[in-house]
Amino acid sequence: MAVVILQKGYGGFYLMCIYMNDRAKKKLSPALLKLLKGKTRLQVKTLDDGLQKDIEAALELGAEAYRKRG
Amino acid sequence: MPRLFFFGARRLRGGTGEGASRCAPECVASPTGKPNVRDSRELLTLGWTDGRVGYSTSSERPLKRPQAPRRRVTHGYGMGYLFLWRRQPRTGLLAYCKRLEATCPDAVGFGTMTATEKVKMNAADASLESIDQDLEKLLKRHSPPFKLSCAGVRGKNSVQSTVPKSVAAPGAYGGSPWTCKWRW
Repeated sequence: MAVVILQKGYGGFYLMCIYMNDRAKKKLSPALLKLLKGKTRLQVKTLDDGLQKDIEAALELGAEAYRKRG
Repeated sequence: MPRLFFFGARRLRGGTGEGASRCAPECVASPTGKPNVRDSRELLTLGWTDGRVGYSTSSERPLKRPQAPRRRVTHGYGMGYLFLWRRQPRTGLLAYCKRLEATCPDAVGFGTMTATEKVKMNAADASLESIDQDLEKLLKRHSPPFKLSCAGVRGKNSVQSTVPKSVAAPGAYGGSPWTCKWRW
């Protein structure tokens, strides 16, 4: 569902539920969309409370999508 | 008459050969023919008092240490000379190193080594570590039912949460869950 990799200059957060899924991508917050580089990678360099809640919401979104697919 | 070389220092003792006539009883015949004037007193000053009787022809033989039973050189100059150095016990070396430790404890190579300090991370790396830990905590909240495992990225901290059961991705693999068909 998601991967966290500590890269050289940032913390990489790969959210797989938005891969080739524009509907799910539109549900993300604008702060997260700013961090989105590429198809699924979010480059996290600073993590505040607001961003943490957004990431938590995105994870919940992905979990919901996987639950629907069974 | 060809010059005689004595490969045994003992033969020189009281011998009647050419080397014996030239050298004093305290001398040792060397392969070069020149008398090697190393008497027992000189050996004592050098610290060679551990049974190297092949170098001294004096009547008073130096003391032998009990730790080196095969130290005696019976054939004088020859391969035994080389083997003699190989048979040196390591106790003397250790004692020598200990002495150096006592005399110069701060010198490089002597004394006990202290544990190397870890390289301090700068602030950016520390913040990235904390970010990584926070993101991992977020993933752990969803770990049941999702499986949390290492992503397998070499040389990097990586955690992935995967679905326990494979699901069908729309538009991929004919609408059915992907299953591994290859075995290796």
